[in-house]
Amino acid sequence: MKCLLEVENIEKWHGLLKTLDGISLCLGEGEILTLLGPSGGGKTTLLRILAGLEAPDRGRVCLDGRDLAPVEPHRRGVGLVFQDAALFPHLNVEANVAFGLRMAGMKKRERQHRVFEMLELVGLSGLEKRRVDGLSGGERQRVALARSLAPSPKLLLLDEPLGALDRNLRERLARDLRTILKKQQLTAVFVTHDQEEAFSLGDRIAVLLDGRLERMDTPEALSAYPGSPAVARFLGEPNVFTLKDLPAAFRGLFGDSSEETAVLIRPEGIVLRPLIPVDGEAGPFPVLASGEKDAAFLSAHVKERRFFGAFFRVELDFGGGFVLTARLPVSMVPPDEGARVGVALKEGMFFALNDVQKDR
Amino acid sequence: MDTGGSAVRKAVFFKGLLFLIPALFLAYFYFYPLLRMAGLGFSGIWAGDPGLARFFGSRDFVSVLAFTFWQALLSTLLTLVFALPGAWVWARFRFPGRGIFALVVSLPFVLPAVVVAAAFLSLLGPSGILADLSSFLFGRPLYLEDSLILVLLAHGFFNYAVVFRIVGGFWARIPESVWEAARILGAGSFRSFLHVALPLLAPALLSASLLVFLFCFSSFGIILMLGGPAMSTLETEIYRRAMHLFQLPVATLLACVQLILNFAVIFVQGRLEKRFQTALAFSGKPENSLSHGKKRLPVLLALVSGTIMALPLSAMVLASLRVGDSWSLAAYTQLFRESGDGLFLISPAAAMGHSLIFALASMSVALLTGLCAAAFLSRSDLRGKNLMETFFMLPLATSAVPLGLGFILALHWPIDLRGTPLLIVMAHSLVGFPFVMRVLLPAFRSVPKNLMEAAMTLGASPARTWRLVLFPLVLPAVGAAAIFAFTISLGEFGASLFAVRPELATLPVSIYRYLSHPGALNYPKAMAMGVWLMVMTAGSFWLLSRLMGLMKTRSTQDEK
Repeated sequence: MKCLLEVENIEKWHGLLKTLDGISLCLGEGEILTLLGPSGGGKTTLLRILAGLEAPDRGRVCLDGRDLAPVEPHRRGVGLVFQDAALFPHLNVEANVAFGLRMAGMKKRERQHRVFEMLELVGLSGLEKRRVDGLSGGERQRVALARSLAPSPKLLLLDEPLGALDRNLRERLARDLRTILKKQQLTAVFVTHDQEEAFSLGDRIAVLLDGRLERMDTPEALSAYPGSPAVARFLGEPNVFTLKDLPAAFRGLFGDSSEETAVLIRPEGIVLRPLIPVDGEAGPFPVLASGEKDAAFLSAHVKERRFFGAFFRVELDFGGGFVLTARLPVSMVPPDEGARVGVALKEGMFFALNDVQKDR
Repeated sequence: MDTGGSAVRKAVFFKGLLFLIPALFLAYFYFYPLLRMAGLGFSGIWAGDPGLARFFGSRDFVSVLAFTFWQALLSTLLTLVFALPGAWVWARFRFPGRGIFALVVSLPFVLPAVVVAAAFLSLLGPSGILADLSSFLFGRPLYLEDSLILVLLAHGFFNYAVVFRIVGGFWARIPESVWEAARILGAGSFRSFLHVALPLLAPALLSASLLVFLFCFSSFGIILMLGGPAMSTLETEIYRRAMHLFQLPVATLLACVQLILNFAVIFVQGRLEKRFQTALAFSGKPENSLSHGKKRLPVLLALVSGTIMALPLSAMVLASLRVGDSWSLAAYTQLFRESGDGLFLISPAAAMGHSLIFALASMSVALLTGLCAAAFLSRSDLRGKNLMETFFMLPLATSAVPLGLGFILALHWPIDLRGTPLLIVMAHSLVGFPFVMRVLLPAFRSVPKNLMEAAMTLGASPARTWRLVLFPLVLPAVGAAAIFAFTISLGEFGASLFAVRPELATLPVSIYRYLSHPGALNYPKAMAMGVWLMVMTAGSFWLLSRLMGLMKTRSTQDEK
C-alpha cells in the first residue's frame, strides 16, 4: 500500500515522562485510522505532532512523501478538529467556516459558495449568519468539521470531537461523520477513547497504550484477536490470565504453551450446565446438550449475578482464587447466587494471546 | 512551535521583544530611580549628614511615623463605621433607588484625591457652604481648617466604596438559607448578626480594612490639602523635606521607609487574601433574592448615607457657581483667562490641555508596555513566570511621592529628562502600567490556546493569528485598560507635583495651586476645575463599566 502519511519511530518526552515511544505507522490515501487508547496514552500528543503544534524528540513525519519537520503548522495542509470545537467566538458561523479559505486567499464569491457547500455537507444549511455561542454542542462540532474541511486538507485530524456530547447525539454524529469523510474521500486520523466509536468509525484501529503502539489492525481483526493482554484488558475483556493461573482442567485446552503464556477466555464463550448428582460417583458432572461439543468442564459456584439489560453477568468462583466472568443471554435463566454449576468453554472462544501479538 | 530554524528564531526574537520593552521601561523608570534614591539616602548616612542625625535621632521621626499609622487606623475605623450600614442595607434589602445609592457611594473612589479634597473644602472649609450657612443662621461661621477631622472625613468618604463593594458584595452572596437556618435554630436578628454574619464576613472585612488602611497610609493629596502645614505623615514629610526644606538625604531615607512599609502592608494583604480564598467561597455565587420587607430603618439609612455621600460633590458644584456673594458662571467663563499670578497659576484651560495631552501620551506608553508584558506573561511557558508577574506589578505597591522624588533625583542620566514633559508622561505611565496589566493579563489568559492553534491549522501565520483571532478577542480589555491608564493619569497628583514644571501644570496640580493662593476668583475657579475633573473621570469610568459589561457578554460581529 502506498502511504500518504508515514510516521517513523516517533518519540516524545514530557519532562522525564516518555509520552510516545517509537510510534511508526502508515496511512493510505482515503483511509480512516482511529487512534484508540485510554486518556494519558499519548493519542493527543501524537495528533499534535502530526499537526505541527508540537515537535517530536525523535522520528519523522512524512505527508505525501514530504518530510514535515521544517513545515510550520499553518503551511502543512493538515486540518484539526478540537474536542471543544474551538470556534472563534467573535466570528459567526459563516466567517468561522470561511476562515481557512480566507487564509488561502480565496475570493469572497468562491468562499461563499464553498461555505454554503460545506454547511450543506454537515447538515447546517441556513445557519450562516448565526452567532457561534448560540449553537448547541452538536452544531458546534458540525461547524468545526465544516471549518476544517473547507480548505480541503490533505489530512484531517480529529481529537475526540464527540467526547463532550451525550450518548445519543454522539452515536448519530459518529455515523454522519464517517459518511461525510468517505464522501470527501478524506484521509483522517480520529482520536477517541470510546471503543464503539473507534470500531464503527475507523477503517483501521491503532491501539495506543502508555505511549506505545500496541496493535494496529482492522476493527474485525482486532476484535477477533486483541493481540496482547494489555490490549485485551483495555478492550474490556474480563478474563485475561496467564496460563499457570488456570485450573488444571482448563490448562490442557491451550496445548503445550509455556506457563507464562497469556490466555483469553471470552465471557460469551462460557456455558453453564445444571449439575445432577450421581450416586456412587466421585463428583458431579455437567450435562451436555446433544450435538454440542464442549471443550472442557469444571464445577464452580455462582459468586455474583447481575442483570445489565441486554445480558446477565455472572461471576463464577472455582475456588483457589480463580474467578471467571461469564456473559449470558437474557433468554437463558441464570442460576441463583451461591448455586453450584457446571462450566464449559465453547470451542474457539478461548485462545492464547502472546503468539498473535508477534504477527502484527 | 519549534518547527524550522527561521521560525524558531523569529519566535524567540518576538518573545524577547515582548519581554524587553516592559522590562527596560521598568528598569529605567522604576528600579533605577528607586535604587538611586535609596543609594543617595544611604550615602548620606555614610557621610554622616548632620540633618539626618537631627531628624532620625529626634522624636520628629517617631512622631511622623506614629501619626501616619494613627491617622490611617482612625480613618479605617471611621470608614468601617460609616460604610458598613450602607453595605448591609444594599446587600440585604431591595428598595427603590438601590442602584442610584450604589452609584452615589461608589463614585468618590474613582475620583482623584485632589477633587475629593476640594469637595470637602467647599463643604466644610473656611469659605465653604457650612460656614456660609452657619454665619447666616447663627451669625458665626462654623468651619474646619487644617484639621485631622477633615482628613478623616475625606478618607472615609473616599474609601467608603472599598468597604461597600468588598463587604457588601460578599454579604449579598451569602445564601438566604444561612439566615433562615440561624432563625430556625433560635437566633434573633442581633444574635444571628453576631454569631453568623460577623464570622462569615470576617475575611471580607479584614481584606477591605487592610486595603483602606493602605490607601490612607500612603494618602498624599488629601493630607496635604486638608491637613495643613503642621500635619505630617510620611508622604507629606517627604514632599516637604525635599521641595521646601531641600533636605534631600532626609527625604530619600523617609521615602525608603515609606516604600518598605508599603510593601509590607501589601504583602500582608496579599497573604491574607490568599488565606481566605476558601472562606470567600461564596463570592462566585450570584446575589441571592433580597427581602422586599417594608422596613423603614434600612431605607432611612440608605437615604441618610446616600445624602451624606452626595453632599461634598454637590457642594463643590455649588461653590464653582458662586463668585463673591452672587451666583454666576464666571468661574467657568474665565477658565481660559490667565490668572494674575503668572508663573504659578497658569490658566485652567491650559492646565486642562496639559492634562489631556499627558493623559493621552501616558495612556499610549502604558498600553504599549502593558500589552507587551501581558502578551509575554500569558503565553510564555518559562519558569519563574509568577515571580516575573510580581515584578511587573511592583509599581502598584509604590506610592506616588517616593516615585516622584526618585524621578527628579535620578533621571538626569544619560540624558537630562528633568523638567521635560516626558518625565511626567513616564511617571503617569508607570502608575498606570500595573493597572493595564491587571486588566489585560486575565483577558489574554482567557483566550483558549486551542483557538490560536485552530487558526494555525487553518493556515493562518502567527502574525495573522494575532491579528485575526487574539486581538479581536482581547480588544474590549484593551479599551478598558486604555481608559484606566487615561483616568489615572488625569487624576495623578503626588508624582506630578514633583515632576512637573509650573508652566506645564496639570489639572490636579493647578487645583492645588489655585486653592493655596487665595483670591476672589481663584477659589471658584479651583472648584470649577474640580467639577471638570470629576465629570471627565466619572465619564471615563462610566465608559469603562460599559466596556467591562461588553467583555462579559461579548457581542459577535462578523469581521470582513
